[in-house]
Amino acid sequence: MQSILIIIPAYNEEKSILQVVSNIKKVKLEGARIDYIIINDGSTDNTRQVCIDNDLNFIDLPCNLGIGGAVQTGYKYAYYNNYDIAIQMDGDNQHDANYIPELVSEINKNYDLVIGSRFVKELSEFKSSFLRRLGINFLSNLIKLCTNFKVYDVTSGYRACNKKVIKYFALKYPVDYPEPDTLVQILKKKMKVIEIPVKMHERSTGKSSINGFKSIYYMIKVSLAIIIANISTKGSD
Amino acid sequence: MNIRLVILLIAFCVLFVTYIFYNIFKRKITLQYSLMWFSYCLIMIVLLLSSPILSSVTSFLGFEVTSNMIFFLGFVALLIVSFNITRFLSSQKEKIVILTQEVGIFKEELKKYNGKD
Repeated sequence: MQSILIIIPAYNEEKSILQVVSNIKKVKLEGARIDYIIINDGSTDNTRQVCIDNDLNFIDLPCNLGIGGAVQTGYKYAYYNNYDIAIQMDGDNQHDANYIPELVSEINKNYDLVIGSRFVKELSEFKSSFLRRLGINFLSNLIKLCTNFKVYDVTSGYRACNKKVIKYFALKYPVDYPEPDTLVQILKKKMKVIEIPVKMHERSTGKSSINGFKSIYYMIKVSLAIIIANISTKGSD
Repeated sequence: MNIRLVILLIAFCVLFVTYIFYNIFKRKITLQYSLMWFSYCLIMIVLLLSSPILSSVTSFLGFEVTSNMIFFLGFVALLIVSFNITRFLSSQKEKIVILTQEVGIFKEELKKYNGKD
């Protein structure tokens, strides 16, 4: 029996976290056990209390680490508890849990990392602004240039991975804006990556953390991270 | 270099060293991290005292006056010190992240363990 862990990083998601968990609980997969773990990343709202009151599985970080640090906690937990597959999913209900079986089936086809993508096919209701798409496009091309592999939705936080990648992420994961960076590392390690189309919802609560000046910092930081990962990551294992 | 400027700068260095000692005794900083500041003051004092014989080096390096060179060297040394602090800060941050994650996971395991009996 395969064991699957859904990692849900949550920072101030008191309004959506219950819905996310109940959607996950509805997913049934034959021959597999699906667990979930919420990583409460030092939320300042009632996320922690909601988790306690509803008896949810959660890890309570004593202080805020940022999305990368929170997600990595999940990978460490998966690594220590010997899970076969880990899937990371946002805590704001953007990601549709119904795609979990598809992500898992790609992992079972021997892919190391599966990305749930907004842009592979146009079935997404998710509308990004022009500038955001431009930015993602730029990063996508930069990654193509570095690794010779085209990924459309490089910033997607809906990803599944196998044991090999769980171990890699548990040991090494950037603290902020981790997705494009880690993607390059995995590709440089000659691991197999595939992107599948998923539907994403507009976030039901909260808003994107990347706005204004932050987006300029984001682009510079992520581009640099991609280039550094490209140079410093050595081939297989 | 003007003797008054030399005296002023040396006095400043001596005051600074006293302040460092004060902080060590008060346990505000550790001896380990005070060493780079001690060496900073020491080098400044040595340079200031040897400024009369430094004039040839000054003109060779293209500085107009010795004081300019000493300030430049002081600036470079500060750059090195502050970069080292950034390095130290980065490694501290990494350690804090690891500790936070492990504490979080540990609390969760403890919860499970307590729930069992």
